[in-house]
Amino acid sequence: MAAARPALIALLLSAALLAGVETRAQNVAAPAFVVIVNRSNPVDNLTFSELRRIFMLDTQTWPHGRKITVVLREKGQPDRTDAIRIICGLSERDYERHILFRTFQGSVNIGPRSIQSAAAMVRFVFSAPGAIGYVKTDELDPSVKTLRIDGLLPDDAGYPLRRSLRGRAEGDW
Amino acid sequence: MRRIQSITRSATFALLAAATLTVLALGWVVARDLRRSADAAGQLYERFGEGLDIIDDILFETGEVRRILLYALHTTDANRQLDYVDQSRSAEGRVRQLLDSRSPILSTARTRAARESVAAAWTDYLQTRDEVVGLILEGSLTEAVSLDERIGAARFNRVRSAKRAGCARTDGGQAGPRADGRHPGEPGRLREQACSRRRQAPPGRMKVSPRSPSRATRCRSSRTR
Repeated sequence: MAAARPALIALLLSAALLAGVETRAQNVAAPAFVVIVNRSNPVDNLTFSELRRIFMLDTQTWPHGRKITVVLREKGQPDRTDAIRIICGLSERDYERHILFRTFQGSVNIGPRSIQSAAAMVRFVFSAPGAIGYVKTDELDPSVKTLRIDGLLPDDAGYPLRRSLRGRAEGDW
Repeated sequence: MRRIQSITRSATFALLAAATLTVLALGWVVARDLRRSADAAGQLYERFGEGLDIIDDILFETGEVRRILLYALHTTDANRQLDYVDQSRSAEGRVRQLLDSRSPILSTARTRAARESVAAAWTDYLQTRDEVVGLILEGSLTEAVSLDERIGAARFNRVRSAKRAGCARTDGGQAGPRADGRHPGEPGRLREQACSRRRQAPPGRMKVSPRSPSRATRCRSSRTR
């Protein structure tokens, strides 16, 4: 019995290690988010902190003066939760609370617009010159413009909006 | 004497036969010409009818583009607004197809100029429409209404005026007052015929769409898709 205990511990440890490796593999395979804007928008690049300020509604106008309209997926959808967690570093509930606070402060007239699908998100951004949204890399459409984040595109190493199937940014692992 | 009589009778018969043949030949020629004229008139009427149908469809679809857009002003739900915008854009696509259609009646020098003026006015209106769409989706409904009132309505009216001028030209109207004393904006005989034909249609059908039911159904189904 005493001899069997180290073997059992070793078995459990190896199982945990395997599970960890598998999770990391899933993390790499998950498609990253791409930030999209209207083709008429002159902005090509944002820093991650600028992107965060936009999604937190701290910045509400583009450098050329157009009002920024943040577009998110509808409440409860995994893509919304993931995007809020990766970009703003908040849970969906905390984000809602933040938006509510900003609205009561009077510093926000209209909060983020909620859209039901990725295709609709692309169509929305295509039609609204001041809109900023996000889709997964495999949902990208040439009718909208992809923004570089910190000068990086989704295929580049170190792209900050890479996500895992668990909904965490790569840096969290 | 008898021989002379017989020759005279034969000559008379021959003359009568020749006259009959001539009359028959002339009758055949006249009948053929009449049939050709009827065919040509029928073809002309069909071409006019086709031209009027296209103008009618353009009138309907341009109205749809604007009407559907106004619906988007009455909701704050982004998904519904986007649906309305998509419907407006698909109606816009149908207008573009109609304006690009190569109907013979719309390809004469006079009607081509009218069509180009409608297309130019329509392009101007679409610029404003796109700006209004952007403002609606960004949640700036008041600004959208203001822009539409200030510029959109005027540009849409310009499209309608251009279409009205185009209709007058399709009816064979001149730029100035016509020989029959009517002005180009007044309905011509062909349009009166077309209108009277439409008046005979059941009123319910006319309220939905003045076009053929199959076409109206097709448009409706494409809108609901």
